[in-house]
Amino acid sequence: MDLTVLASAIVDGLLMGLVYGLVALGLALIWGVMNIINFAHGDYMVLGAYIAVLFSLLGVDAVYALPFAFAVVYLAGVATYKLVIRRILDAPFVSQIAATFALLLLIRYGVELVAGPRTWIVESVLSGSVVRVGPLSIVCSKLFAGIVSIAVFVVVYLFLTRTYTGLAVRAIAQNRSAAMLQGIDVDRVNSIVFGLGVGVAGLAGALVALVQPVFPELGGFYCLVAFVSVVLGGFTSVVGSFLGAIIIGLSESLSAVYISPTLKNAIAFTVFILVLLFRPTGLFGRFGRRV
Amino acid sequence: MVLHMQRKVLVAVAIMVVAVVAVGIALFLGVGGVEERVMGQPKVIKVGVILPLTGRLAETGEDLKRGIEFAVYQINSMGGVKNCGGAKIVVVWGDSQARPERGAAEAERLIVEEHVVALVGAYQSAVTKTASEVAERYRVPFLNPDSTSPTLTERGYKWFFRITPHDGMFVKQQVEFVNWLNKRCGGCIKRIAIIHEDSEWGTNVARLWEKEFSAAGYEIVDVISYHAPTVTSFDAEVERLKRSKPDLLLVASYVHDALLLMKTIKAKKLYVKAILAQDAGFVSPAYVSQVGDAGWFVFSREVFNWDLVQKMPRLKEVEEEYRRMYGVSLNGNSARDYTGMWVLYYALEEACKIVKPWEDLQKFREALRDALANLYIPGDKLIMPWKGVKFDEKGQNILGQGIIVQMMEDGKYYTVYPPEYATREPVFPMPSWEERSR
Repeated sequence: MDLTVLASAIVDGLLMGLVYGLVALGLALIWGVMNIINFAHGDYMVLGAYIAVLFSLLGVDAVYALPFAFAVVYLAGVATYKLVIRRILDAPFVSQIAATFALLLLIRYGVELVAGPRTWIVESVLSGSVVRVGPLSIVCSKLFAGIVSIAVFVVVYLFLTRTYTGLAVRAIAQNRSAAMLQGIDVDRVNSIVFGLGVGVAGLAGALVALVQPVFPELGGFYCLVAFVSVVLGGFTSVVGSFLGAIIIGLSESLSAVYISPTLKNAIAFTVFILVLLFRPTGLFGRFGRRV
Repeated sequence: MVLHMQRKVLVAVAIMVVAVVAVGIALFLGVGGVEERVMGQPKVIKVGVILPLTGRLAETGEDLKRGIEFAVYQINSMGGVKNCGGAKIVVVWGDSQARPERGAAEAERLIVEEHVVALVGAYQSAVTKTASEVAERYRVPFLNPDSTSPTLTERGYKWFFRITPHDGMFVKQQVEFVNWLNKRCGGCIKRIAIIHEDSEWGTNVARLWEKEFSAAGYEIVDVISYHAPTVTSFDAEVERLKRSKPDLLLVASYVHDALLLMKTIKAKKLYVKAILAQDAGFVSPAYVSQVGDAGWFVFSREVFNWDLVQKMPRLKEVEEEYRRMYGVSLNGNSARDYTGMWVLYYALEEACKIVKPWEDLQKFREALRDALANLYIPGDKLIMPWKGVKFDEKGQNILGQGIIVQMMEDGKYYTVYPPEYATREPVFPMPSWEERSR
């Protein structure tokens, strides 16, 4: 009996962690390449969630919304880069914070203006059905979200390590001036990175919409989790932040079962503080340098 | 060039002259119009109403405002306040913007600048608290139709009157309801679990539940709280409830968490004999329209329900006229504020027997306070499912009560308790998930 509870907590934590990871990954990527902390990251995720809501309202299964969520938010990200981010790349840190925070407000309350403050549920063939693995019951949509998260993570990883553009991205992350001297079109690569970073978050948003109700302020908590994951993962590491997010997901669900559901967020963040106390560079600080 | 400049100046001066003359004429006509109106008609009684008309509760504010407006329209078209020579009630609106400090500022403005005889409002308990503090200080009656925090009537105020039942009374009634259910199944409810959101409201409700249900002899087997703004999954909570095996689950949730919780309960097939929710998220339109079969057979506390028209002839009349005027139905909010204005009207009639507001405003306010304190309105004059209106020495209406509704298989809530207002028999115990899928 207790083993079942443990297993189900691990599965739930792992699956939520994978989705958190998708949000965190983009934040780390943008941070690593452009040295910009995107406070609006969670709200780009919400944009993706609302695209799933739109599909559901039009009577199309929300699963089909995933590529559109990525594409639309990717384009929004590229536009944001051209209009805003490019201008603040060398601005003082405070201006950068103010600019991305302004983006957060614009997106969050823009969404609220268009879709209203109400809560939406996204219906899909996956929601409501359950997969039984032995004594465990796993909600289909959550399992799907977890699997898609892993797949997207692998694709992004391959993009960064196996393609020419990926190489350029890593070159800029290591040294922008040197990359420029090598003839890399930094501006173009930056716009791709920003689009990709928020686009993946948008995709994560559409996945989140499959597993939980959607409302305009949804992004706040996910952004917080993403920040913590990125710090756990060694600040600019894509792989590290993804793993960091899984740790957050697991510590949340395990503490909910074995300590108290009331404290689940608190304990997840306590783990975060402890890790930073003993490994100030994050858990995967060194590994992260490379990707 | 110089000539050109001069022409520009000339044009500007001409525009200014025209503007000044136009404003002058408008003011002259306007003032004349007002004087004529005041002289040609009977005097008015000004009432200040504070509501969240803008801000994050603007939608609710709109509902509440309609209830007030409709009551005033009815009262005035029936001849106004007769003991004051048929004086019409005029509402002066105050906008709290859903913020306690704005509520207090508006209360002060309405009292000092608008010279209202009384204040009505203000929906959110936090705003009602600050606004009624101002009223108490200025010795102006404050009539509250719609705030349910129990502490509001525990402050020893002399000028504060609350018409709606508060959360403490609701919880007492829920205990009675569960006792009543329990009799139907030979005492099958023994173990109770509570899950609640952790803001002041949910925590308060959970505390009251724990206290009242354990006093009634039930065993509280688990109390789980969660933080609504950050909850992303209820899997662990539901697993835990499966282990603690309650017969009855009590829930205090907002909208998105209520939806997520019920969907998780369905997916994980958690079975309890009954789920009883505390209003809020569970009766919001977004929840009702989207929860689907995951929400069937859940009980919720309510103050008002659409099917009451079948049981209350007075409500049926009012509801029909209201629908004709606004195109929407009365709900718990508009119906309570509508009732609030009528309660004030009955008190105004009494106060007008003693003194008129235009003779001595402060004396009138005192007379109004006394009238409210001694007021009795029988239930059949109201559109709420209450026994009537009568205030105790704390200013709380002791004849109010909630109702219990249950969502049936058509996705609508039906009144099931108290029996005199019930339109359906409760489905209890809930059918198991296996029975339902058939």
